[in-house]
Amino acid sequence: MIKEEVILHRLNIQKLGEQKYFQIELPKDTDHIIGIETGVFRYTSGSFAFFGGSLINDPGGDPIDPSFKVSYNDPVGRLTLQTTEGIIYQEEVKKEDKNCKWADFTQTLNEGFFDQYSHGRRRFEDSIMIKTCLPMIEGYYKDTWGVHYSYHVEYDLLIYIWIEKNFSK
Amino acid sequence: MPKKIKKRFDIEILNAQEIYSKTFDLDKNITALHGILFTSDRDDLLYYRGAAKVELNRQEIFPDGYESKLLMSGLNVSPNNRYYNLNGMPVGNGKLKIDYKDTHDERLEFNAYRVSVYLECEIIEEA
Repeated sequence: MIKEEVILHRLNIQKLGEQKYFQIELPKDTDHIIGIETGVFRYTSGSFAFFGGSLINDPGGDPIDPSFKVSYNDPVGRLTLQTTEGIIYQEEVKKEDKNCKWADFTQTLNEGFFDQYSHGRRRFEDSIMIKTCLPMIEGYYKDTWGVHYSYHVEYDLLIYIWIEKNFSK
Repeated sequence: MPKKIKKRFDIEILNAQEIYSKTFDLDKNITALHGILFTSDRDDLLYYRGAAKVELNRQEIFPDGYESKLLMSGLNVSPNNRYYNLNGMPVGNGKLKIDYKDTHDERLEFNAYRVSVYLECEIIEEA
């Protein structure tokens, strides 16, 4: 019998450009690591252009239909995870998908009334398939959110490790 | 013949940054769970502030602090694909425990809201 489980690791980031080294302990009966997800809770206040993110490809007087403009997704940080097998995962953590409304003609009529919390796509973890010899993951994280806005942003980064246990052995 | 039905359970979130722990008793004729979905009357609050631990029959499905947005589906997702797949998990004693935590997030100010948990259940129909 194979059972899936998710392990959550929380990192608190407080300073601009903060770097953290950490270890995530996995259950001893872990068979495979099968997926990685990330998420963020942001704590600090401050002026933050959330909905009005800068648009690339947006020169003045641009005749492009606003529905087809591509928004820049704010970076949160860079994450690297490794096991005894070597580096298994590297990602530029993004806060959210600002382009979920791309090519949706109704957005200009309903601007501000919906976003990805109501119209988001289905979320999937990033699939990997790594056999673990040692039930431990080493991680390295570097904040780029604070660097992007040039002030200290306090947030919790949540790292979800999906694992598989095999009870039939 | 097994039949699938949907069940809904509500949790009222009245205060910011508190944990709301609720245990729901599933009907006796429910034999397995096939899916779970989180929604709210304030999708934005659930998306930015929600995290929940989910246990069924004292078995942890999602750990403490698991962000609720990972179990939400937008209106752009086909209704047939909205539920997180639980692969027909046996219900055991039929107790579903949810520890929902409202977490401060600077992007959205708190207001009272309702969290709804939908389950896709397999039932045995009595002859």
